[in-house]
Amino acid sequence: MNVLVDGLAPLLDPTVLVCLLAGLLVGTLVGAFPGVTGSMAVALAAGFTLTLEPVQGLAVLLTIYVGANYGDRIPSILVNTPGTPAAIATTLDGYPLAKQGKAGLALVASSFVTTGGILVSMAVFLLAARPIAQLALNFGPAEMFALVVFGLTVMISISSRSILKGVIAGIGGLAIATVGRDPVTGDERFVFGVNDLNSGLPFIAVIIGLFGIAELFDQLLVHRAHVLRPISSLGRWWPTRGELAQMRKPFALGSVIGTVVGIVPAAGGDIAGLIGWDRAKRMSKEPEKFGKGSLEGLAAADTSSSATLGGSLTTTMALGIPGDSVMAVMIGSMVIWGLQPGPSLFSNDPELVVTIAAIMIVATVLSLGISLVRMRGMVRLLDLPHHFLWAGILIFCVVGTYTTTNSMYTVWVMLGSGVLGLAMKRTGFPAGPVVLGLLLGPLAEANLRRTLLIDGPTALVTQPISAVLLVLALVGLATPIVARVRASRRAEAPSERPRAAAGRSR
Amino acid sequence: MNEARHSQATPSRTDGVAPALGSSDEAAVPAAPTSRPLEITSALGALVFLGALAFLARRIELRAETGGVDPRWWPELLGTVGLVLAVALLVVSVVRPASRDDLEASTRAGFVRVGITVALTAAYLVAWPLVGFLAATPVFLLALTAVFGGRGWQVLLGFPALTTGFIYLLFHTLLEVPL
Amino acid sequence: MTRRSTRSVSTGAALAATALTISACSGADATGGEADYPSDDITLIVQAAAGGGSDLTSRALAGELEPILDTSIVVENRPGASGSTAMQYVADQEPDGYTIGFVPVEIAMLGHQNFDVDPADYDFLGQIMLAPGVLVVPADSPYQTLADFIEGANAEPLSVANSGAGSIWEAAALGLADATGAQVTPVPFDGGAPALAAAMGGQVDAAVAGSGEVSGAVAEGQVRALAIFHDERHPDLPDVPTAAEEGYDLEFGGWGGIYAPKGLPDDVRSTLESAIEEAATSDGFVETVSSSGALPVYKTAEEFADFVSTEYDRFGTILGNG
Repeated sequence: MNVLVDGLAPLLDPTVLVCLLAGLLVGTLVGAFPGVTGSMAVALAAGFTLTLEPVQGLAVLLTIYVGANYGDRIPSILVNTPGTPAAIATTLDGYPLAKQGKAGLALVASSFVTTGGILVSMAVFLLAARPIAQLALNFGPAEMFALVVFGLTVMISISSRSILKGVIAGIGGLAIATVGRDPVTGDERFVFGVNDLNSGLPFIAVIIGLFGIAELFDQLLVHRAHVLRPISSLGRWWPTRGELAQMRKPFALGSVIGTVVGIVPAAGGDIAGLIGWDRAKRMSKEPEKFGKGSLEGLAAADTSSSATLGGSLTTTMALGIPGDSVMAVMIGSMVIWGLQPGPSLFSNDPELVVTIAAIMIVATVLSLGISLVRMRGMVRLLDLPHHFLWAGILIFCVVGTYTTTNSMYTVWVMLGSGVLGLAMKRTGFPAGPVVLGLLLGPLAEANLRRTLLIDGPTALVTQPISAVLLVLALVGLATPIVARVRASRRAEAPSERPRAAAGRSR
Repeated sequence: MNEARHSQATPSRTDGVAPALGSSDEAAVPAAPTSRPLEITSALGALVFLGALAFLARRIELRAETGGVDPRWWPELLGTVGLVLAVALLVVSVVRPASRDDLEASTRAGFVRVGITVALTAAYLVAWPLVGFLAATPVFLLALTAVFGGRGWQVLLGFPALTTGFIYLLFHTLLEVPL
Repeated sequence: MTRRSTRSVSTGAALAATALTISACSGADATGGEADYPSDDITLIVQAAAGGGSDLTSRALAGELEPILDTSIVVENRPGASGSTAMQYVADQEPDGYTIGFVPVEIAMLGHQNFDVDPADYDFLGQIMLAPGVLVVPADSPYQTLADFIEGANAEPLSVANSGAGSIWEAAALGLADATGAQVTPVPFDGGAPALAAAMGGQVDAAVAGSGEVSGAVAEGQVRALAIFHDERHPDLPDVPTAAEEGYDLEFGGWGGIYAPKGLPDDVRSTLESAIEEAATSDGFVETVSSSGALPVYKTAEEFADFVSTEYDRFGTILGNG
């Protein structure tokens, strides 16, 4: 009990409260800014917080971490632009909901499941951080490879209209991910003598281009002055009892997936959101609504990407290994404060662990409050005349992208991706698989080759975790294809050629 | 394919709160027409891209030839699989071009608008390093607002100034990111 | 726990940061003649993203430099392409003393890896830190000493994790193999932390990482350190022998210093050199660097330039471009 009291006491300090609020403000603001990620905000803030007391500093950094995780959902839902990569999966159902005039409902539902996801994962952190963190150590290259292959099967689910176009788009994403230096030998691939290409295409610039800019260009393309848009503040805010019940299953699923993926080092909210969305779709009674404005899809995506926060924190504090890029910065700051994250943090300094958990939980609850209060204003932004809205989205995307590297090259990549994204959108190639390929391709290749370097090919099937995940991936790959072929055969006349059935998909 | 249209239309009707807006645009917005040439062009585009990938992957220079799973292996695999799928897509696009009923039809004015926007953005990206953020941004925003239909001096001057100021304060002053 | 002892570390950094904010807004006065250098803000280019070790060190140094030079130092991160983006950017700037940069060990390596980076394009102004490499093995590894490990690696190839293809720690593993004839398979990971995690989890036989990265895990007993590649023991790892003590005279370190485009005017150059010496040996900076697990090693501009060129030649041999 003493530990609990000692751990909670620092939170009563008014300066800590000020730090909490400052962190929340910065977090939600930058999270909502496309391109500016939580890790970037935490890194910039870390320059200031070094001079503070550790608890004050942690209050700032952790609340930015939490706040950004709420802020990034807003542009995803309202303008199809993920505020940070963790909100990629949010766009899949959040934006369609907004287009149907349900932006308010989507934002409220998203805030609640985000809160729930963080709280569940924080409960895991408090109750079982040390034993569970050991799980992370079992994730070597073979297991990571299997997890990533499993993640790649999501490509099939997010190819909403044509599996063939979806998979081609995915291969395109995997292909552009190979640009740059080879992860194992360091040889140049597709660099063509351009120095900037040595580190590959900047991921954040590509997603902002493919999602946000492409959607903006599409609106410019189809805009008709006399047609009113259904996106507006009009619409119901509060979910009905039925909708709440509907979200229960994806929420439970998302919490588990998010926490586990969060614990795995180097896998964060972006991957977790997509896997959570995919699993929920496969288990749903209405999978056909996913991607077209399903509350279940939104709930699964946001729960699982948010539940990575507690998982990451677990790995970081209990092992001293950063669970994601924000936590890498956090470890740097903690070490300067003289705090060494690792197993002994829990035995030597349990009060601090309680304080950290308390900060996270308080920040989560405050974030929920703030996001509910300011939601109306946020949706109002969409009522702005379109000349403000369009110009605003464009300049925010440009500046946000620029600040990731302070280099114009990154912004050019964003603009190019926007044009490419528009072409893909008009020809029915989905952007989701490209991003998935870009995200997972380097992990897949590098971990496969690491495995081969260390143990040779047998490790993939002899390691139990890896073997199970690979089998799951195979099943995941086969079932939707079989189901679609069967469904389209049933729907169409028996004389249809099977090739067309496979290609057309529904 | 009708299914897609239904599931989009139904919820906004049953929503109940915004019936007027939710339903008014259904008839007014024509869907993009199915286009065989467009499908074939896009399939050819995919074919060229993936063909180039397969070709260039073989020509990656290595400092040490190890054979087996080397830096060429993964791009070659992607290129080969992709090429097969692209050929399949080409066949599909000729035999049965996919419907585009989930997209709204584009307008001629829309193409012009996209073209001007891309050109303006490109000009802005060139101008920014030359004249600085504070000089280039208001002009860019003014031009964009005008192209998108904003009129009146408050709109054309006030909005660019306010937005530029907000971004500058947030990044340059608060976060210390040099713009 | 020494949690509170280091908190005054970089008060300067934050004060300076505030000052920086104010002056950065006003800072467009004319770039003065060399006589009154510095009369304007100085930009310090960092080759890594905000929040990493290089960034932290650079910001701490900038905080100390500001009162000495009586001007604002704007830290600008230009990450990308293994740091070569920033290096090429610095080389392309005017040598007027208003653009300087943090230079990492990679400057001696990239030229041997097909990057267009040459140490001859820069004026080196002083070394400010060094993070020596440490060889660690999993806690349950059969190897107790460096000699054990090398013997084991003579019998069969051992996998050694490092922070990435072309990184200093990959070169260290290769250098170890070169010098001892051991069979070592370097396994590049995506950063130092995952490499260390692979050693903790026993997926690899060993890992080489910087002293700051491993000291926590060594203290916790999650991994065992066999040797440190430096000429003396590290204060955070007092029980870890140097490679030389174990009979192999090998040194590998992730060092960092300050550089500028080639051709600084002499007076600007000497102003910067003495300011950097004062900042790099100040208590505040020394304490920040030490608490991050690196060593606050200072070398004068001349020594540093010689050192860079020695390292450049050495990595040419190790990385196989002679």
